[in-house]
Amino acid sequence: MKQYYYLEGNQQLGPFTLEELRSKPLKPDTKVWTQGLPDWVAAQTVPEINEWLSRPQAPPVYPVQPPTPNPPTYQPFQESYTPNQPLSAGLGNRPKTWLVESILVTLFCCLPFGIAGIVNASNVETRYSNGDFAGAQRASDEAAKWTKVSFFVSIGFWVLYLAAIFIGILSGVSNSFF
Amino acid sequence: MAGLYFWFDPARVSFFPPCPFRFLTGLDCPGCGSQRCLHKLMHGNLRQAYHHNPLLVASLPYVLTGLVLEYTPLRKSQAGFHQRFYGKTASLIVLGIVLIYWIGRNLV
Repeated sequence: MKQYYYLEGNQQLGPFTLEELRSKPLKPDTKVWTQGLPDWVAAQTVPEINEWLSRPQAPPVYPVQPPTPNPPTYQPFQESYTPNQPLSAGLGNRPKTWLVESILVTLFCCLPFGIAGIVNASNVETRYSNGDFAGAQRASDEAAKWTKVSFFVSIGFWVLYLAAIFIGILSGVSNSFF
Repeated sequence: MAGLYFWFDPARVSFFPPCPFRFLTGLDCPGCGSQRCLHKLMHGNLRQAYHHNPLLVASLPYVLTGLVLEYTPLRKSQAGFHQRFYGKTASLIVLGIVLIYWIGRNLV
């Protein structure tokens, strides 16, 4: 008899026989595993489970959620999931938005790069609240990148400027001496 | 660094670099005047600081609050407020203000 396991959140449940599994609240995208599978897969991709998953259940064991009208809200999370990392890996705190740092470089570094930081700061929350944790992290990294680019470019500009003045002074001095 | 801005007035001394954006385009950027503004601020002269860069002075309360929220234990205890303070709405408002200010100061 084949033994089946499934994931609820990041908790592994099982083993169950195929018959026992029928009474469990499985959805087509619930991750399941059984002997012979290399990794956790969506329930609908296992033929013997999908067979009764796709059939409407007479009295539903639990209220089946109506299909969400806006699937992209949870799709990105599915994309970012890889079986080797715990399911809750992306569920941490919202990544840093770098908003204040972006404002500071906008005001002090005299370079419009800070604007890019602010735009990315707003993307962090947009993506985070859509469940796109990987995307939120990317936006956070972008924001961090732009604040740093702005910061170091202006430091570089400062150094160049001082160097130019220094050379100017030197040549001025040498001109007056020779 | 802070000493430089305290002791020397960027409006009179030439070793403070000009804004690269202004240098290249001749237009003001949102940060133009910040060095002079900082000098005046350090001397407690709010009115003249405001004259050099109004946005910098206006954003001070927000920036200071933001830094305190981010780098003190308040971050944990006021997590909800921190969330909104750094949230999407806040970012978009800031973006709007900066862009309007940027365009506006070149028109006036």
